[in-house]
This record gives sequence, structure tokens and C-alpha cells, in this order.
Amino acid sequence: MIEAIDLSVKIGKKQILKNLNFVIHEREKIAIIGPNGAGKTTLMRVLGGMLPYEGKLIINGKEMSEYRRQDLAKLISYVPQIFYTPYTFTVEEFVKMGKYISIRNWWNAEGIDRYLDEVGILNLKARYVNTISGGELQKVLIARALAQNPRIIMLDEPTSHLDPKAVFELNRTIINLEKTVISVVHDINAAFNLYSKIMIMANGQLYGIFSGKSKEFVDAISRIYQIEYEILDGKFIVPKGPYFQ
Amino acid sequence: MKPKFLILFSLLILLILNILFSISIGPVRIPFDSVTSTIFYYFMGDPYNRIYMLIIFYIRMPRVFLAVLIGAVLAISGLITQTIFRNPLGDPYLTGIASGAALGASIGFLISPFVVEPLAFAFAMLAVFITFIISRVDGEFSPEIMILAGIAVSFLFSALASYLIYLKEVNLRGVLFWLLGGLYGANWNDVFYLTIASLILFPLILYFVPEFDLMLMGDEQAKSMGVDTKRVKLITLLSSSIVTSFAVSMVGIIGFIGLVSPHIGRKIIGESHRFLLPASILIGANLLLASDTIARSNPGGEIPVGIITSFVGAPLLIYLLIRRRFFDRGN
Repeated sequence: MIEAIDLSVKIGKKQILKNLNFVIHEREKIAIIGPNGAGKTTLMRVLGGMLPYEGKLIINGKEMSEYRRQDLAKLISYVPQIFYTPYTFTVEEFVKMGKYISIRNWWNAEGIDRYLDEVGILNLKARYVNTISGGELQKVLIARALAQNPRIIMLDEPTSHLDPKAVFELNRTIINLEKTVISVVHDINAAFNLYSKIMIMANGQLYGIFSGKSKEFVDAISRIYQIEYEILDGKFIVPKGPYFQ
Repeated sequence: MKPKFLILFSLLILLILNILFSISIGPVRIPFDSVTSTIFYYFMGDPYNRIYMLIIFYIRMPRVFLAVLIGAVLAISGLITQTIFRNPLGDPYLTGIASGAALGASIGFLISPFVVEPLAFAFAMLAVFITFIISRVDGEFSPEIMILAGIAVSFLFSALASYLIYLKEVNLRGVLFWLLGGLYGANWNDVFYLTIASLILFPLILYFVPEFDLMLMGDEQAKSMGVDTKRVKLITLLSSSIVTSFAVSMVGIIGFIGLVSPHIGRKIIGESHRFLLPASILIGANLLLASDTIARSNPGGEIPVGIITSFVGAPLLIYLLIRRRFFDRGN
């Protein structure tokens, strides 16, 4: 589905990503994790076709740079990290915009209720997007990405700013999507428990790719963050010993 | 009829009444009903008031239609700029058109009155092209850079224009009157050429109505949803710049219409461009026509319409700001 060979990205003269090599298969759930400034968001943007790159990046058998925007949007949808909209569109209109790629006059699109239902916000349909909460807006954005009906959904820290209930619901929604999902995640426990593969980024390089729920992943993040972590009950990753001494 | 169509329909009716009213106003007052009946009889081949017809057809109508057209042009360009730059302060002159036209006109006044219009147009387009070239990042216009580039280019061209006016013996009153904008020179030729330009360029802009709403989400989001943002920006900004330069070269720099019309539109009809675009066009046409009627019926003689539009536009903008529904609509 996605194959990167020596993928590098420069912004201006600064090398942001250096020689990344990885393969992502259909319907895998990938978490990208790493310290601030590791290049996670840049990786997301280049996978979304927003940045020029060096090396090879093959999506569905074709080089990324050769895609037309319309064709790429049928394959990949990118849900951004921080999104605030001051505009007075209803949730319904907003989600219908996702249909643009199949129906240019998207306001005539029908059958978007199922996407709202899928992320549990059917009750918000008539609300204005500038009057709902951050967590609700995040779900609206995911519903819009679903309406686009891509094969790959990319999410940049989807659960930041959300309360525990919203995080739980959103994670459940994401994991049950019958699509390839690539998420930037800061919560190591969520990455460990929910995703099938975890890519650890550090200093613009790929530190390694690990399976979910593996001890190797916990060892790797211990080295990256220089905190010794252990696994409790096979479920929780916690720092060893008492928190503060 | 749906409420939004009803609003558009009302704006259209208002424009028609506005046109008839404006035609009836002037040194020779033609009663409201005589305006319609004279035109009606003329086209029916019945006997009509010849003097009224001459005044209506050769003096008032070209001016009224030019005001309507230019109001529409400024409103559509203002809306496009606000949408593409996602900046509520966007106006049609953001890309340096006004200063370019001012420099061209100043040079024109030095040479001959006949070259004022073509030179104003040429220099307005020159300013636009310089701004466009500076703003290209990775082959695509960057809104952030374009705003700054537009300001820089505006200052440069203004400085050159001021230098010319200061140093050479330019017809100062002529330049000033031109800079403030006025429709006093309106004739059927202007109306004809501007209509042709609008008929060619407006469809290019209206074609992208489905994309405009998506562009409001930001370039990356629009791209992610499949919008060819590069193409939308290039075609719409170029079209609106050409038609605005053309309008400015005819009547000078008329402020505030392009800025205020889309804001009024948003307030009464909402954000969706499929309603907002026609609404802004009708509002711009109504506003400029009303302002021009006031400008030319000033008892002490005609005043530049730019003064009136600023007098009307600035308080409107302040009102919108005070109402706080400018940035945080709905909250």
C-alpha cells in the first residue's frame, strides 16, 4: 500500500527527515510516536502529499509525486492536528464537504448520516461547527474524512485536548475503522495497546518499527525518552519504581 | 421559496428599484413613474418624452449601469481575496492594484488625458504581476507572503506616484479626483467593455464556487479533500485582478465596496459561497449605485464617490466589529 525507500525531506536547507524506509500494508493500524521535533508531523504531511521529498514514496504502486490531487484524495485523507474554524457551517455541511471528490457540488451529497453515526455525533448534525467543543470537532473532522471514503486515514494526535470518555470513544472508533490508519500518538499506552505497528521517530530518522504489545517497543521507548519503563499486567506501561524520589 | 433564495431575490428587487431611483435623480428630476413609462413607450414605439429619453439614455443610464457593474466587480474581487487569503481584511486592492493604477494614472496625466486609462490599467496589472511573482513558493501562491508582497509593492508604486506628482507639474486636482474615484466620465463604451470583461471573467470565478468553501479550511485541508488549490488560486486571483484593474482604470480607486460587501453578505446569508457570491455581487452593486447617486446629487457640485463609500463603509465596518460577529460568528 505505502512503501518508502530512502525518503528524505528538506524544508529550506534544513533536513527534517533522513532516509526513511518502511512499508505499510492495507488495513494496518500504525502509530507514529517520538519526542517533539522528531519529524512526526513532517512525515504525516509528506504522506499526505503536502511536501516535496527525495527518495521514493510509492502509494498503491505509483510514485506520490505523480498523483493528481483529485486521485490522491480518493486514497488518502489527512485529519490535521489543530483545527479551529470560525466559519458558520453546520456539521452536516462540513461533513458533506468530504464528498467533494466524488460529487463536485458536494452540498447535494446524500447519505452522510452513516458517517456521523459511525463516530457517534448524529445528534450534532444541525449544530454549527464553531459552536461545538474541541472533541466534537475532532469527531466531525474524522466523519468528514470517512465521507471522503479514502483507503488510508491519517490522524495527527487525534485524542489531544479530549477528556477520557471522548478519548476512549474516539480510540474505539479509530481502531474499528476498516481502513489503513496512520496516527501520530503521544500516549505510549494507547500506542502499545491499540495499534498493530508502532513507528518510533527520533531526530528525523526512523528509530525502528515495532509490533503493538511487544516488549521490544517498551525497551525502545525507554531508550528514546531515557526513562526506564516496565509493563504491568501486560497492559500498562509505567516508569519503574516510585514516581518521585 | 427557500429563505436564502428569498434574500437574493429581495436584493435583486432592491437593485432594480435602486436603478430606477438613481435614474430619476439629477439636475433634471424625472418622476419615478416617468422613468419606467418613458423607457416602456420608447421600446413599444409609442410617443414618449424626447428630453427625458435623452437624459435617461445618454446621461443617466450609462452611469447607473457602470456603477452597478463596478460595484459587482469590486464585491466579487473583495470576496475572492477574503476567501483565498482567509483574511477578513481582504479587499480587491490587496495585490497592489490601487497603487499601480495610481502610478499609471499620474504618468498619464503628465502625458495626455487620453492615455490615463490605458496606463492605469497597464501599471495596475504590472503591480499585480510583481506581487504574484514574489508570492510564489514551491510553484504555488502563498497567502501569507502575498499579503506582505502586496503591501510592499503598494508602497513602492505609491512612492513613485507621489514623487511624480510632487516633482512634475501634474494636474493636481485631476489626479486627486481620479485617486478618490468617480464615475463622472461614464459612457456606453465603458459599460460595453466592462460588460464584455465581466462576461468572460465572472464565469471563470463562479465556476469555482464548490471549491471556495473548501478553501476556507486552509490550503492543506483543501488539498487533502482533493482541491487543486494551485489552479483555483491562479485562475480566480488572476481573473479578479484583471477585471478589477480594468474597472479601476475607468473610475479610479473606489474604496470599501470590496471590503464591506462580502461582510454584509455573510451577515445576511451565511458563509456558503453559492449564496454569498451572488449576494455580495448584488450588495456591491447596490452600495456603489446608492453612493454614486449621493455623490452626484451633492448640492455644492459632484464629489468623488470614493469619499462617500468610505463615509458609508467605515461606519458599517465599525458596526460589524462592535457586533463581534466578525471573527466569532455564532458564538
